[in-house]
Amino acid sequence: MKNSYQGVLLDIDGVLTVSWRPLPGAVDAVAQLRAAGCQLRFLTNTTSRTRRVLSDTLARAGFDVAPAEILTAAAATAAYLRRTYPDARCFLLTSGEVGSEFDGIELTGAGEPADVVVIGGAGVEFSHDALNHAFRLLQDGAPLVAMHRNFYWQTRDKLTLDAGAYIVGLEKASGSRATVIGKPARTFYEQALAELGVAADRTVMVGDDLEADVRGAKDAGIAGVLVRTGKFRAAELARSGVAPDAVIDSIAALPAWLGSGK
Amino acid sequence: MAKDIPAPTRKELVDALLLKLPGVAAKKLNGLDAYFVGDRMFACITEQGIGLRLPVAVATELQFSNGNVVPFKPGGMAVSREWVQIERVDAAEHEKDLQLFRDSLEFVKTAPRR
Repeated sequence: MKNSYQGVLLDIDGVLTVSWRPLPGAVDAVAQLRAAGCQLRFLTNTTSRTRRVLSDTLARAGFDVAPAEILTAAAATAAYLRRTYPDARCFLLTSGEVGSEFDGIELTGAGEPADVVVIGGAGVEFSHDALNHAFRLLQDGAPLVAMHRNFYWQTRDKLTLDAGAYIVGLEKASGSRATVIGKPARTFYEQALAELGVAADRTVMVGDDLEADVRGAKDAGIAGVLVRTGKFRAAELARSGVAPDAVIDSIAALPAWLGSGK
Repeated sequence: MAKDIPAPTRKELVDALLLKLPGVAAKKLNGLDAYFVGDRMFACITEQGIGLRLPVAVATELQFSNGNVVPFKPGGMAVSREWVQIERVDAAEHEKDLQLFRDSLEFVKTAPRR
């Protein structure tokens, strides 16, 4: 029963905003979900901003979202590193400022020894020297941790290559296999459910990425709804083999989709 | 001997007021009785009364001038400055709110999508 969904997980980029501008109807839709008492969490593989900065950025776009309601791949990765590799030196290759999320973790630069290779979002930092350093650390036995393995994301007018492409290359070259922390990892969704306090079968995930959002959610027992905004491409839906529980025009249509007839 | 007729529920009373307005449909969202115009929700039934979306200026003024109008905070978190809760112990008194329901409907129907 759709109307029994109590928890709603929302992707940010491509669902609420594109290039941090609100999509039409998104602000109102979030307010309607709150009015209906839905428990919300905002899940993002964005690796370039802290939760505080994301909350402020969303506020400027018109959304009232508390930092504690946001689950980022960067924050989840930091938590994973503290838990799994305490005291490890981490070579962090990412673009943007994750700042305080990695407090207490020893980060090293290119050319320095490290125990763990951590890959975040792609950018100009992904130079041959940096990637080669990561490759050599992996060859020496360092584990590979990835905030996500997205292949691209939607910017204002174009798709842009993301870290997934580099991770595949590092895996192939080194024989390593990355531990992925952000979407579509099941543990990421389980962490969101734990924070919500809502069962998987009473939760729906809404996103624009078939793999990270829809398949990832469904693998965790959560309903997956695809929006036709952001990186959505009809041709990809046709060839993907992923079957969303619904495909809606945008998040503006979500409250009405969730509401059953009386 | 005549049987007692049960008093109408808040839902039945509000249905009678809202569903006669043009374009209004009742839906259940998260188990909550909600009222939509098109794909936009503009009202819902709460334990104490009705949650209603109005222009910010109207919502703010109502909270100053009416003791039974408060910010709408389902689960303790305010929805937005546009959402208020109109509290009525006696649900039959929602009839007095009909003009506000009309104002809400018109506002939500015509507001630009944000």
